Amino acid sequence: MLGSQMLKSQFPILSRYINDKPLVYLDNAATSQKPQGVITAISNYYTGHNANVHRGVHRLSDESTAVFEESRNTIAKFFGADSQELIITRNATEAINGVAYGWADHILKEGDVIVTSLMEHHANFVVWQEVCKRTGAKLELVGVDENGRLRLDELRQKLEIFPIKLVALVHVSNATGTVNSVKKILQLIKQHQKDTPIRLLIDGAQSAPHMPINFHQLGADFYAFSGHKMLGPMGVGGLLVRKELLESGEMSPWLFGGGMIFSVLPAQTEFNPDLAERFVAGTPDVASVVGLAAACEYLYQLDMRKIEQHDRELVLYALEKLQQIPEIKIIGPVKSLQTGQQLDRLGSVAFLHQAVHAHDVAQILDSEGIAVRSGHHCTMPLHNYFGWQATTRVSFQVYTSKNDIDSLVRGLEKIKQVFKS
Amino acid sequence: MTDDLYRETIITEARHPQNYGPLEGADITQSQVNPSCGDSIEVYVKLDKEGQKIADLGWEGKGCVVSMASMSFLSAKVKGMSFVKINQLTTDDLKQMLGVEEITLSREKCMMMGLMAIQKALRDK
Ligand SMILES: Cc1ncc(COP(=O)(O)O)c(C=O)c1O
Repeated sequence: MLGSQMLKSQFPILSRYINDKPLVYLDNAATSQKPQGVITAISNYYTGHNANVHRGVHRLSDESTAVFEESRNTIAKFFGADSQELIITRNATEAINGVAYGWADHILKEGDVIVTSLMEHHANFVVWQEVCKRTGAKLELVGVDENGRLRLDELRQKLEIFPIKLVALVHVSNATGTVNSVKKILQLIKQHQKDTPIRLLIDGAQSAPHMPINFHQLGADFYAFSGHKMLGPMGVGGLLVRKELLESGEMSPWLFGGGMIFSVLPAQTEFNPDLAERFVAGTPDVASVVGLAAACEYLYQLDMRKIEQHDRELVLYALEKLQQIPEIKIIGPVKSLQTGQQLDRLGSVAFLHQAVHAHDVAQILDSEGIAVRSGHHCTMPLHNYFGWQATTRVSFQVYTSKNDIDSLVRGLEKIKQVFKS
Repeated sequence: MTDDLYRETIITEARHPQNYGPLEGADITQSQVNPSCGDSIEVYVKLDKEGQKIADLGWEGKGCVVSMASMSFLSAKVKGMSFVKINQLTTDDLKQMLGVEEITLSREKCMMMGLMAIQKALRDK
């Protein structure tokens, strides 16, 4: 069962005590903890197989290459993508930067328009501001409604008016938990696409850990994710790119050097025709890729559909409990758009405390062993728009239980005592 | 450490801060933000005739208990203090003002925000 003691015990760090209290880890949107299987996979790689990949003919190099390729296959399969469509990066941020350097810089011309939104993480915001500086393209922002939902009507308007080449949107918001409907976004794009294609980039940093993703069914051109938020190690993530864009050269390598080449002559270099290798410049972090594959395997065994269901239950439970506390105001959607429909929210619940600053909330919770995030969560445009100084966020993973949320509620009681509010 | 940080004196200081509000006729205004959380402090400084000391100081800010209480204590302390002395103030001095022995790295930034604003104001004057 998800959230059970048995499952918790597979994550060694969760047995720690903080301030003499058992750790209650509710900062999973920042990074998730790692199961023993992932830690062991990394350790086994270095203990038994370490050698550079695609380089030598000796046994270890061969083993290492095989493990690397197998791991890539596992990760791609987890996302319903072909192995060739997976570009390994350090994290979601680097993946989005990859679209900027490997796609936008040579595709966009002065006057072209990139659309992103007010609810983006800085990773999917600052990158586009910088692309605009380099290419002369313009950035248009889609707003949010009072519940933190994307204004699809505004997206439609922009698609009607502007010569848009790229739409870059978050799948699940790390601040409000809002789930954007990629299906509806794609419908709008298809309706308005004329001769030149409009590409869609989805920032999946917070969707990959909480819902099943099938890249081909999703229909986006680019999908970025971070391994460390989905039980994998830090330092590895990926960019999924639709094969057509790779084959046509529309998406081209943005890092150059060894490994990604076919032939290097003094006057010119030909890139590796093998799509999987064309984007691997220099020695990759093989151990982390192996670790991420182990994480994908683990999540696959648990079943992403069950994980999503578990997450939805936790979101609803946290909303119910937190809404009973008068000082607390939840940010983001709390009711589904239509009755009977499921709430379009996943992964986290963030809130404002009327009397106490978010840092103070987080610090007092820490004294109870409860780890939460406070601040603007790298979504300053959204926080500024709503005039939120800083918010407190609790976020979930497969090992989170309703008991953890009960502990949180008791921790919030302590704030009342300390501040006598 | 939390109990230390959330003593009544600190909470009260943050709730009833000294020298709060803009200062009319200020010679310098300077703001400081903590980029990791978006908290901000604005200081208004009046210099003495020789221009070597702070004659008066007002401030406004949005932030946690630690940043607000620290700035409040500091605002009282630096009045009449020479620039040389102010520039020599350190983390330890502020910990002493707050009466805490330890502070985590992340909260140290909150504690230091006010002092940074004042020191920046004096540098840029
Ligand atoms: C929605 C979203 N996008 C992008 C990122 C960036 O992830 P990383 O720091 O792993 O690159 C995050 C991380 O918090 C996120 O929540």
